[in-house]
Amino acid sequence: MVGGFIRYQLSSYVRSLTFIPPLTLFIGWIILFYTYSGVPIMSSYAVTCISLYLVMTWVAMNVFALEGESEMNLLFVQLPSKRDYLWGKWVVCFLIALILGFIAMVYPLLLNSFKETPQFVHLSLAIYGHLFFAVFGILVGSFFSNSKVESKKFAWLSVMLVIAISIAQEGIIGKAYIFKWILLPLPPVSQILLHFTDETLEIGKGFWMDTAWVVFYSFICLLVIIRMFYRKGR
Amino acid sequence: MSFILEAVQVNKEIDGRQILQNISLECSNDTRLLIRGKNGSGKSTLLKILAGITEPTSGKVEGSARKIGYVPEHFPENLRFKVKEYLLLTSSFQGGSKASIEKELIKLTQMFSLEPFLHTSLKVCSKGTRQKVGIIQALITKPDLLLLDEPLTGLDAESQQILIRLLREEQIPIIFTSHEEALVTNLAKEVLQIENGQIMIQIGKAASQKRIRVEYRMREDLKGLPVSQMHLDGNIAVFTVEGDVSDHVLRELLRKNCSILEVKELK
Repeated sequence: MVGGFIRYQLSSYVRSLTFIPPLTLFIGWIILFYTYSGVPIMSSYAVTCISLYLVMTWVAMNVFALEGESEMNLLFVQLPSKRDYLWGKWVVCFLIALILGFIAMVYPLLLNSFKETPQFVHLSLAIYGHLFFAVFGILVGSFFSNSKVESKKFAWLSVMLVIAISIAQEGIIGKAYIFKWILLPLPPVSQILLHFTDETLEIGKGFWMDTAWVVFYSFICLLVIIRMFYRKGR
Repeated sequence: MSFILEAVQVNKEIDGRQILQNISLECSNDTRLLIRGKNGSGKSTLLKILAGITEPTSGKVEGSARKIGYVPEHFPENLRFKVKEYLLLTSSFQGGSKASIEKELIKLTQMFSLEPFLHTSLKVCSKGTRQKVGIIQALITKPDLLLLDEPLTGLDAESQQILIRLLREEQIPIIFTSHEEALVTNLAKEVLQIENGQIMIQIGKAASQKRIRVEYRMREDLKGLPVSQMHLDGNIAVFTVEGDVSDHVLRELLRKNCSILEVKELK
């Protein structure tokens, strides 16, 4: 991995100032959300997970749109390979996700906002949830940044649609089971949220099956985006 | 024989339009290849394919070149870096030694008189300064191959001479496009003409052509002249002649009492 390129991307992202709206919105929301203390642990973390999903999609779209065509062409030649360009972008997105995820998880702990003391299982699930919601956000953002969608406006609308449907998919499937298969390509958000219950937390076979699907889904998405990235250059 | 770079049967189609057709070329250690053609003939696209920026629709590009230096025709205008910062960052991508990169940076910035701009934001630099940065970023890592797309664009006369001298001295194979006669005559060893997306290779030193417009008295005066093309309009003749015989043609025409109306260099 090229450390120089990550420094290049981070500097460019910070100087572009495009980080201000999503990060301000996210941090502002976290502060507002934890204004009241005595809130349930997992439900609150579920809300911050969804917020992270939205914000990371936004951040990923911005990071992938940092360069104009001519700068990107130069970077393709300057870097040892095109693969480094894509992975460098993902590393930058992931570093931002780590910071935001850390804030989302640690802020209520510092303020003692929860109605009970979080146990190890709560924190483990929260880390797992924030991690994969951030990954989903990055994947959705990367997908639409590397698709051949001509209009930027249309790409943003598609992103919003995908996010909204993926969050609401459990309810949609509840109404009509056929949507379970139609919505399969969307991020399996509900397979994570399902386990964010404030009743007795149980890490059983169901959890591991869902986790396996989440990991498998993320891996397949990664491969699809890599393929799309290379095809875009043809 | 292994080549620094080899393009085999390369085709490129963009939005259903055939840009390049069956382009094949080889680049070895002493290559100084000029790619020529009209605007929109696909020269820049070919350079981008050779640089690995864009993939050919069919065909392949392969070779032993690991580091390629690429100078685009238009260096990006909105880079969020200062000159020195940009050059150090981008040259670190290939993982070379920091000391050798800094040494090369000092040498090249001195050569192109860029020292006063090292801490200037690229956004506020002039087009010429940005073009110099574009050239330095390609040379600084000591590439195995240089791909230059109209490298003299925006450079002042002095910088053009410096670049031409530098490229002549460097033992790096070069593939370039240029409409500047100075670069063509001083650097090109071979010319690859692109017409309608296809190539016509002209091996040997690139020779420029000249267009000569004359007023003649008798048609017989024009016979036997080594011209490539001739158009007659009344008592005005327009010749296209190879650069190396143009002086001879002019002398002959003057000897035959023709009036030279215009001599124009063709690119």
